[in-house]
Amino acid sequence: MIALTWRQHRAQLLTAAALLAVLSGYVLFMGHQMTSYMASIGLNACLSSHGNCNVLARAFLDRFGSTPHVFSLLDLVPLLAGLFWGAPLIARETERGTHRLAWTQSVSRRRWLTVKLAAFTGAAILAAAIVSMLLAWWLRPFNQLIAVGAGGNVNRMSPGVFDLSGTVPAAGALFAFALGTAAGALIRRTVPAMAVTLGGYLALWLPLESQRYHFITPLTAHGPFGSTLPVPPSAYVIANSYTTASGHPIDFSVMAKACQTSHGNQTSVRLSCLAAKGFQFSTTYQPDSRFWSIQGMETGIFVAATVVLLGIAAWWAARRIN
Amino acid sequence: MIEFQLDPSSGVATYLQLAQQVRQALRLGLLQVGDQLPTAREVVAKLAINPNTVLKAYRELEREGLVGSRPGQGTFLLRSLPGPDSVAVARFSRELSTWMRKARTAGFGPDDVEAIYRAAMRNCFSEGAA
Amino acid sequence: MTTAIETTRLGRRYGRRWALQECSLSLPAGHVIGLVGPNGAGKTTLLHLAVGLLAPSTGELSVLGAPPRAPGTRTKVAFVAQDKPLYPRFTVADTLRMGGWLNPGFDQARASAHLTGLGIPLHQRVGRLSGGEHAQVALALALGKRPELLLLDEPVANLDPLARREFMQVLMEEVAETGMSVVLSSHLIEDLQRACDYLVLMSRSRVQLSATTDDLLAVHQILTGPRSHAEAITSTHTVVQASYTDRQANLLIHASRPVIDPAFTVRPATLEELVLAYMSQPHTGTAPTLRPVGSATEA
Repeated sequence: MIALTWRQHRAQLLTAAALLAVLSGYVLFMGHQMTSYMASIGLNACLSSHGNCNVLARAFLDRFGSTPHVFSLLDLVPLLAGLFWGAPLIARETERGTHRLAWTQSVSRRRWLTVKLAAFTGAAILAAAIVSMLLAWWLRPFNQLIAVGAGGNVNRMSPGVFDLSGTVPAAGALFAFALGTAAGALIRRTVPAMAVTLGGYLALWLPLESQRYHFITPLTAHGPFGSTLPVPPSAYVIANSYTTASGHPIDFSVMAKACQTSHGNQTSVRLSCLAAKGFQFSTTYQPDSRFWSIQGMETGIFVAATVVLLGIAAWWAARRIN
Repeated sequence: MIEFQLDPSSGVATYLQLAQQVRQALRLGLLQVGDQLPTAREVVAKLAINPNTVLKAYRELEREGLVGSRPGQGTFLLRSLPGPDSVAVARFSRELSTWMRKARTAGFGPDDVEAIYRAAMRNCFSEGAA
Repeated sequence: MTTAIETTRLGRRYGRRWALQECSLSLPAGHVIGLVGPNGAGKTTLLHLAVGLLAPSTGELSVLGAPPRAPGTRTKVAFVAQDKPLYPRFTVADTLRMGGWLNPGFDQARASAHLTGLGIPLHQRVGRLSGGEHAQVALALALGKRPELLLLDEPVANLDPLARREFMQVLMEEVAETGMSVVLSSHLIEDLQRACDYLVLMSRSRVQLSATTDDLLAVHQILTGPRSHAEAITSTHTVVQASYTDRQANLLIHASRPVIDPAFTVRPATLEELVLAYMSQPHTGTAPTLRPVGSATEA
C-alpha cells in the first residue's frame, strides 16, 4: 500500500520537492548575497564591535529590506497542500470511477485511506517545516539589526512572517490538506472540492491574520509626543491611537491639522508642536516574547480543525461512497 | 485432435452439437480409437462456452460407451462407430447424385429438392433416433 | 462453500427510490451466472452490494458465507466494475504490480506472461490501450489474485465482436481450470448465453427469475397452433407470453407437465426468447416465481 501510494502520487510529491528545491536555491542565493554585502560594507564588523551601525544598517535595508516581502507571497503555500494533495485524494478516484477498483481489492478501504493520509500529512509537515526553517535562516541578518535597534519592520511577529514561522505553516498545511480531503470526499469532484478548499481555508486564515494578536490581551504603552515608548523593537504594533491633553481620543488627521504651520513639513518641528500642545499617543502591541504562545494557540486551532475534518473524510469515505 | 464448431442458430443444444461432431468425426475416420479428445479447457479457450457444457457432452458419449476418461490424463475414444463401408457410401452417393440431376432436369430448384429430401428423411427416420 | 451469494430480502434505496428491492437469491458456487436485465434494473446495485461498495438499506447478504467486507471475503472475491476502471497513467506492468501490492498471493509473473502472450506490451500506458486490450488487462488484474468468485459488471459492452470473443475465451478458460464462480451482468442475453449455465433475470429493481439454464430450457416451450384452441393451453399451463393473429396463437409457456395437444407444434424456447418474454411483462410478484394462470396479455 505504501508502494502504491508512492507510485500513484510520486508526481505530486516530486513537484513539491522540486518547488522546495527552487525555493531553497533562491533563499541560499539571497542569503549569500546578503552576508557578502554585509561583510563588504563593514556592517558585520560594526555589529560585533557594538558600535552605532544605523547608517550601515540603513544602507543594507535600502538594498535588501523589501526582499522579505517575497516571502509574504508564500503565505498561502500551506493552502497548496489542500488544493493539490487533499482535494484530489478521494475526489479524483470517485470522478474517474477508480474507487471501484481501489476499494474492491484485498486491502481494506480503511487501510487504503490511512496509508495515504499518513503519507501526505507527513509530507505536508516536512515541507512546511523546511519552508519555516528557510525563512528563519533568511531573517537572521534582519534579526541582528532589530536586536541593536537598527532594524526595519520585518520581524517574526508581523503577519506575513508569522504565517511561515514556527509550527504555524505545518499546522496550516495539515488543516488545508484535511479540508481538501473532506471536501473531496463529500463533493466527489476535484475542481469543486478545490474551490471549497480555497474558500474554507481563507475563511479561517483571513480572520486569523488579525485576530491572532488578540488571543492574549495586547500590551499598551502611552506617553507624550517626543518621548520614546518602551515598545520592544521586535514587537508587532497592532494600532496607534491619540488623545488630547485632557485625555479625549482624537483622530490622527484632526490632530495633524492642529500643527499645520507655515513652517512646512519638517518632522521635528511638527513633533515639538504636537508635544507642546499636550497631545499623547499610545501604542497597542504584542511583544516578541509571546511569539511561541500565540504560535501554540494558532497551531492548536488548526490541529483541532484538522482532526475533525480528517474524521469526517474518513467516515464519509468508509461509509458513504459507492 | 478434433476441433469443435458451434452453430448457435441451429436450435440444437450446444452439448448435443459437440457430441454429434465427435460421432461424425468417428464415422469419417477423422478420429480413431485411442485418440484423445480435447480437454474442457482447450475447447472452452476456443469456443468461449461454459466448461460444464463440454463435460456434459463427454458424459453423454461416455454413456454411449464411445469414450472413457482416465483420471489425470484426459478423455479417450474407446470404440469406433460402425459405419457403412466406403463402397456402400460411394454407391449411395452416386444414386443420390443421379436422382438430383433428374430432379433438376425436370425443373425442380434447390428449395424444392430440399423440401422433398427433408420430408423423406422425416418419414424414414422418425421412429427410432439415429 | 456451495453458495456463492446468498441474499434475503435485500434492498437498497436512494431517498424514496428503490434501486433494488425484495431480492432473495441463492446463487450456487461453481457456475457461470448471468445477470440479465435492462439498464436500471438493479444489476449494478446488486453487484456493488455484493462487493461492499454499497451497504444494504434492508435485508441481508452474504458472499461465500461471510459479509462482503470481511477480510477473508475480500481476498477471495474479485470485481471488474462497469467500464473496467484502471489508472490510465500506469503502465500495464504497473497495474499488475499494483495487483501484487493490494492482494496477497497475487501471481504477477503468471499475469504478465499471460498478457504478453496476448500481445499486450507491458510497458504501454493503460490509457493508450485499445478497448479490447484494456479489457484484458482489467481481467488479468482480477484473475491474478486467483479469486473464488469473480463479479463483472457489463464486461463486454463496448467491445467489438473479436475483443468480446477473446475476453470470454480467457474468462471461460480460467473457469475450466480453476472452477471459480462467475457472476457477469449484461443487458444483452446474446453476450451471455454461450457462457452461462445459470440465469438471474432482473427488471425494475426486482428479480424475475433465478434458475439454471438447463432447468429453464427444460420447462419453457413455445407452442404454435390455432387460436381457437389456445384456451385449452392457457387454462392448463402458465403462459409467460402470448401473441395472437386472427388465426394463430404463439404461446411461450412454463410447462409443469408435458404438453400433449396435437393441435400445437411444440419446441423448446431459446434463452433469448425466454428473457425477452419475461422482460416485457410488468412484474407483480416478489421472488423468482412465475406469473399465475390466466394473466397472459395480448401482444
